[in-house]
Amino acid sequence: MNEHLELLDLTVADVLKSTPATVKFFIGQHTACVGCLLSHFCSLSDVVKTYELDEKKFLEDLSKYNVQKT
Amino acid sequence: MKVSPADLRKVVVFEKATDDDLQLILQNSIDRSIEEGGFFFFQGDVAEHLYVLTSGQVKLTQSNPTGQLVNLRTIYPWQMFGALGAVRAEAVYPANAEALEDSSALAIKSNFLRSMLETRPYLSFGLMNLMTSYIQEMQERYRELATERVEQRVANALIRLAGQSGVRAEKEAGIELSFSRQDVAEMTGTTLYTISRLLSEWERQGIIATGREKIRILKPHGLVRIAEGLEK
Repeated sequence: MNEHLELLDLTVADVLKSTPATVKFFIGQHTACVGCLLSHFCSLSDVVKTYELDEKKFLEDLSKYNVQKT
Repeated sequence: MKVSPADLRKVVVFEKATDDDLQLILQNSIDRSIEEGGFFFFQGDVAEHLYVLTSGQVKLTQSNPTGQLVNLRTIYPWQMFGALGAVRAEAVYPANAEALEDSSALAIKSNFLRSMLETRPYLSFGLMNLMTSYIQEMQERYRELATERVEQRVANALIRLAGQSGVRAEKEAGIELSFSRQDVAEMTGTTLYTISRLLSEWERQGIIATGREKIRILKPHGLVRIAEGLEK
């Protein structure tokens, strides 16, 4: 669970930079994150809140992309 | 402020320069300090120097014959400005460079850099890189002016400013911008009245909070939605 909390604290910009394949993920979630100038201000938990997504499903889908936490 | 070759390498155009070249550039430049409200140069002056900002903030503006000002961009430390003299002899500055706070810059002789350009491809590529990113930004702004509704234009301007210079103090505090309504009006080609009306409306919706010369973005996605005309 702790691991998930850490993941949700990452910013969208960090995730896209460390794991470019997640472009597909963000588009798949129907967010406007890819290419957004403010992506380094929003954490993944902000994304979940903003788009009223199901957190569990969100993390489950994201786990397929093996995001690097650097 | 004493500038070292390593400092100079922070400038995108000089990223790939050799230590010898950087030393040479430093030898052919002088430090200039301008107090808040003063100018490094005016629109129409002969572009004898190009500048690298070392501290402070500089606003580039262009005025039309009736004196109305348009904000072109804001320069932050280790960015280059007024560089067109390095490419074209006899060039004049196309804009005014006003110090928004007490600022210092390295003034490099334009004709010196021009002579370096002839034998150093990395400099040409660096300058081309800088110029193409300016052109791209201007094309985007032109498209916005030509096609978008005024609230989209203003929202886009705030997003662009936040992306370039926004500061996030604390997690819940939002993104802080140090710009006045007048600045935003000049940037978007609108009037102070329009900006005030829009900002008040957005403040009412909880998207932003405003203060003296300050705008805080509380709901970044709210602005993105307005800028792009999204449903959600």
